[in-house]
Parts: sequence; C-alpha cells; structure tokens
Amino acid sequence: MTTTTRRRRPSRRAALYATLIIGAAMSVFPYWLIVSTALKPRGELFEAAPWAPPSSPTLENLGALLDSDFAQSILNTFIFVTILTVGQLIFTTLAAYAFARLEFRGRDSLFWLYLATLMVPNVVTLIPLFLIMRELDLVNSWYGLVAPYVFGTPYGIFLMRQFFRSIPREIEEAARVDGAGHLTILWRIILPLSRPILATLAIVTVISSWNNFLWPLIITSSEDTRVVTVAIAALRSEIGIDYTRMMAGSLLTLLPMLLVFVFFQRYIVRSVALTGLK
Amino acid sequence: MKLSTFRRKMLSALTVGALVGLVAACGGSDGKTTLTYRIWDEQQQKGYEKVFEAFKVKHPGIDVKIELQPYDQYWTKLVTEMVSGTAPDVFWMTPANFPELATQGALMDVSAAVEQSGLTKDKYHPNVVDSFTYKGKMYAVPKDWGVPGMLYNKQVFAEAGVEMPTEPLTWAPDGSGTFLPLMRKLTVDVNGKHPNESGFDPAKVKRWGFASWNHSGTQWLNWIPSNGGTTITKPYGTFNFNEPASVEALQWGVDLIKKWHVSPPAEQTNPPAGRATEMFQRGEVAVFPANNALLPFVAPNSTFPIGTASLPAGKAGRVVIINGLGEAVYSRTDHPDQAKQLVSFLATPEAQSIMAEGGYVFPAINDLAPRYVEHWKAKGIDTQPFLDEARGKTVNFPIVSGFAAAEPKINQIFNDMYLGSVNVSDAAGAAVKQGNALLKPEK
Repeated sequence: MTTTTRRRRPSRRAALYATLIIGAAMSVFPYWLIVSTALKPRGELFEAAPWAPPSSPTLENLGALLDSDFAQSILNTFIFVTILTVGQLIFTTLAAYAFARLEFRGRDSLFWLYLATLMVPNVVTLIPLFLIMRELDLVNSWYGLVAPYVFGTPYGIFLMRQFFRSIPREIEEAARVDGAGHLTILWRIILPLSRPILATLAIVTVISSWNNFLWPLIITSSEDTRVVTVAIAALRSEIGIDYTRMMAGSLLTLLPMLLVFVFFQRYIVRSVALTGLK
Repeated sequence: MKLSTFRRKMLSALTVGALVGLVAACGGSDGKTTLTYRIWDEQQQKGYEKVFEAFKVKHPGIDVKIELQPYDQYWTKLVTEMVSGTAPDVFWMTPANFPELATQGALMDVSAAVEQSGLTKDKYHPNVVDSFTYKGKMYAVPKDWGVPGMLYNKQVFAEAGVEMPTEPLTWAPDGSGTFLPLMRKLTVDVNGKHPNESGFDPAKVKRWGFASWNHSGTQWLNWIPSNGGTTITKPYGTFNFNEPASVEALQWGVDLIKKWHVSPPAEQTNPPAGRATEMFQRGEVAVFPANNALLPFVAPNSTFPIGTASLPAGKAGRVVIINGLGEAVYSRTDHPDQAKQLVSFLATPEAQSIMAEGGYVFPAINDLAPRYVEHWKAKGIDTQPFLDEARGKTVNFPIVSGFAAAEPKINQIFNDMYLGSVNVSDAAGAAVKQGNALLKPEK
C-alpha cells in the first residue's frame, strides 16, 4: 500500500508540474510577444521567428510613440482612472453604508434591483446610455466619459455593503451613545476599519477603468479625451499594421497594470474571495 | 434610524446641483468655428496637420480638429453618430460605403465646393470622381486613390536567376502567357524542384512564386475585368460576377493555388488571419500583389530590396481597379458653410500637393500624381508602375448600395472557394445571390 502511493506520488507531481508549466507558458507567451516585438527594430520584425528575442533591442518604437499624441492618451487614461477611482470610493461608500445600515422602506428591494443591473451586459445599455448623453449634450466630453461610472457601480456597492455588514453593530451603537451621527460614525468608525476593502475597491476600479475600451470608443472622438485603449486600436490602419509600434503601445499600456498587479495582488485576490465575482 | 428631513433635502439638492453643474460646464464657445475632420490613418495625420496649417492662413476664423479613429470601428461609430445627429463635420469616405450613405441623405452635396477649388472635374482621376457621384452631383470631394500592383523580392529574383520583364506580364485562364512560367521558376520545394518538374512536392514548398489569396481589392476584382468580365450590372445596380468570363477569372485565382501550385494554400492565407503579407516579408513569397498604400508598412520592415511591377494583363488587357477616397460633409453639420470651405480647400492643388510630396497618397489631381512617385524614388522604391496602371485601363471599385454589408458574406463564401471545398461556379453563384440579397439597388 505505502509503496504504491510512494511510487505514484512523484509521477503525479511531475504531471502536475508539467500541466502548471504549460499553463504558465501559455499565459506568459502573449506578454513575451509584446515585449520582444516592441523592442525590435522595424527591419528585424520578419527576420526571425516572431517569438525570437530581438537581436539588437531598441527603444526607438517606444520613443516614437511617446513623442506622438499617444503620450497625451496615456495622460488621459491616468486622469480618467483617477476621477473614476475617487468618485467610486466616495459614492460607493455612501451608498453601501446606506444599504448596509440605514433603515428605510424598500431598502433591500432597491439594493437587489440595483445589483440585478450587474446581470445586464454592458452592450445592451450602451446605445440608450449614448442617447442619454446626447440629450445632456455630453457626447465627446470628459463628463460623458466618466458619468456612467463615477457615481459608483453595482459591483463596488455590493463589495462594500458586504464588508460593512460584517462590522459588529455594537461598535456603532457605542459611538451613537456618545452622540455621533451617521456621517461621524461613517468617517470615524467605519472607514478606519475598512481600509483594506477600500484599497481592494480602488485597485479593482483602477484596473477595470484602465482597460475600458467600448464606452470611451463610442462616447469620445477627439484627441483631448482619447484614452490609451482607443489609441492602440487607432494604430491599426485600413490597409496595414505596424506591429512594432502597436506592440510598443501595448507595452506602455501594460506596464502600469503589471506594477499594480505585482504590488497589490492580495487586494485583488480579496475582492474575488469576498464577492465571488471577478 | 431615519435621515432627518433637512439632511435628505440637502442630499438631493447636492445631487441635482452636481448634475446641473456638469451640464452647464460644457457649453460656451469663443466665436471661432471649430470643424472636426475624422480620419482613420495615423500616418496621414501628420500630412494633414501641415495641410490645415495652410488652410488656417487662408481661413483664420476656422479651426480644424483632426479626429483619428480605429479603422475597425470607424463605420460603426460613424453610422451611430449619424443616427443620433452627432457625426463629425467632415470625414473620409470610401467607395464601398458611399452609395448607402449618399442615397440615405447623410452626405451634403459638395459639387459647388469642388468647382470653387479652381479645378474642373476632369482634372481629377475619373474613377475617384465617379465613385463619389450620385445622380450627377458630388457628395464627397476627390481626395486620393490607391491601386494594386505587384511588389517583388529582388533578392529572390537574383537567386532564381530571373528578371522582371519591363513589358507587362500576360495571363490567360488556361495558363498560357508569360506570367505563369515566371511564377513556376520562382516556386521551389525543399528538394529544389519547380512545380512543372516531376517529383515536385506541393506540401513541402520552400518558397512560393506568387500569393493568390482571397482579397478582393488586389486580386479577383482585377482578374475579372482583365479577363473581360464584370462584377456589377451598372452603378447602383447588383452583382453579376457569376457570368462566364468572371467565373473563368475566379477559377484562375484558385488554379494558381490548386492546379499550378505557385501560390500558398488558402489555409495559410485566408482572411482574417491572412498571412500573405507576412509571407512576402519573410521571403516565403516572391511576388506579392499589393495596393501602393501598403508600401509605408512593408518598406520599413523589409530586409531585402523591393521591386515593383504592374499587374499582369489578361485578354482584355491590363485592367486594374481604382480605390479612391473622398472627403464628405455631414448633411446635418452645424457649420455647413465652413465645412464646404474646408473641403473646397482640400480639393485644391495646394492641399493635395502636400499629401503627394510627403508620399502619403497618390493625390486625386492627375497632374500632381508624379510628385508621389518622386517621393518614393528618393526612398529607393519605384512607384511608376502603379501610376502607369492608373493612367491605363481602369475600372471603378463596385458602386453598389450595401457593398459593406455584402462584403463579409462574399468573403466567407470565397474563403471556401479558395480552399477548394466549393467549386468556383457554385461559389460565384452563391456569393452573387447572397450578396445581392443585402444590396439596395436603384430601379
């Protein structure tokens, strides 16, 4: 009995590692293509296999992009992400606290109704949303760009509400005895206890708004509001593609997100663990 | 616990206030008119920045803002905006999308603007003018044109000991003519055998002579007229490329792969993956039919000297398709007069010479076309064959209302045709039938 398990274990382990290595290679390969292509001089692109490393790496592609309007779109994305993250933190906290702690008629049905909007795919609401923005004269403006997200999202409110509900009521009641109002309780008691979840919400918002493509594409057209995802797509022309430039653009867009992931991994994992949503 | 009435009022006042603030903040103007100019080509943007500097000198009251959009989403976005009334003032127009938009009244009549540029219509390439004319009026000013020719790998020609003849190559559906023998000499398998030699293995080819693939603009839309066939019944009519001369030409495109073995199998070249361009750049294909507009993408990546030639001539002679671009004005623009002044300027020699001399495009103005050739000559690439083609026998890109909708359907059917899984006349019949179902022909 023991001998068979012993014999089986190393082979199982080998199979496990083989699977993991294959999985890892498949996930890493696209990133490798981006990095190596972005660093290749244009003349070298078709000299060797696409996955071969650049023989004389150059920063020329990256430099050329940073000299163009592409730099502006990176800046725009930073602004976009900052506005959305700040807005999300403020409004989501207020709404989530109301849903978790305030008592008013229809609170729970309102909450579930709001949450149910998560089930509706984005594309379905895209056109009505666009028409609303047109009526408000917000097409092709910063306001139109951030409006659908800046006042919080169902996902964020769900995340925060679940966390707030896990804070013992006794703490709040103690504060209330001392004469604290709702805002004081939220500010002095709840938020200090919620730092980790606020960080999680911030990271998740940063990533999702950084990657957002469809809404910015539809609602904005001009350079001063163009975000980086749209700018990369614009590098592809009708008739040809400059791969080195496109990959340089992808690399520039990817780097900040890689840094976010490396440094804030545990917050991302927490958000998945808490809500069961990715 | 309930919110006090006062706080509740405060909150709703704040929310409403914030919304009003948002709406109010985006009004306002400074007396100047700003026109938007929508394009999809990042390379040409640099040229147009120069053009608009020149425009500004003449029209200091009009600012032009270039909007670069991804080509893949260009038409979807434009149509969405037209429906909601927020389309840009001036935008690029293709022959494929023009008929539908013109017939629906989305474009403004710019005939007078073309006249005001100081040139008569016959000074522009006739095919570009025709592409953007509807019921005798122009709904886009002629901007530029592109034409398919052949790019070839000079290094491979030297290795194979062959030369590109100066007079046009010839082809015929039965394989006679000078084109096929040359492609056979250039095609070689791993054992050094050519397609007409015994022992040649089409599964182990090292280098293909030609790239025949499912690409309308550089391939079958040219084979058909050069074999004396037609693709449409008449402008604003329907497809008819299922007639004998056209089917013969389509068969020829497939035969280059399946029968003569001088082109890579369609498994490798069918769109959307379409590796043909890359195969040429890697030296796996010696002769590559391409639009001159591809040069800025191919030339800088090239590891070998590139030669150019015109497309081979069929029994109707050398006939090529002209794909022109125009600049259209949105019919519901807020600034119709200024937009017309802008497109009128874009049709002048002053504007078009900037684009020609920068090597961005062949300008629509005939007399300026040689300046494009000069630009590329300085870079070591001879674009004269493209110009010769455009000055010879040409046909228009098919002017049918609904081409953009029919194209994916035709493409899908032709993918199977190039693979050899459907015979050519059946494929042509199906493509015409299903393509026509998506057209809105004029009676």
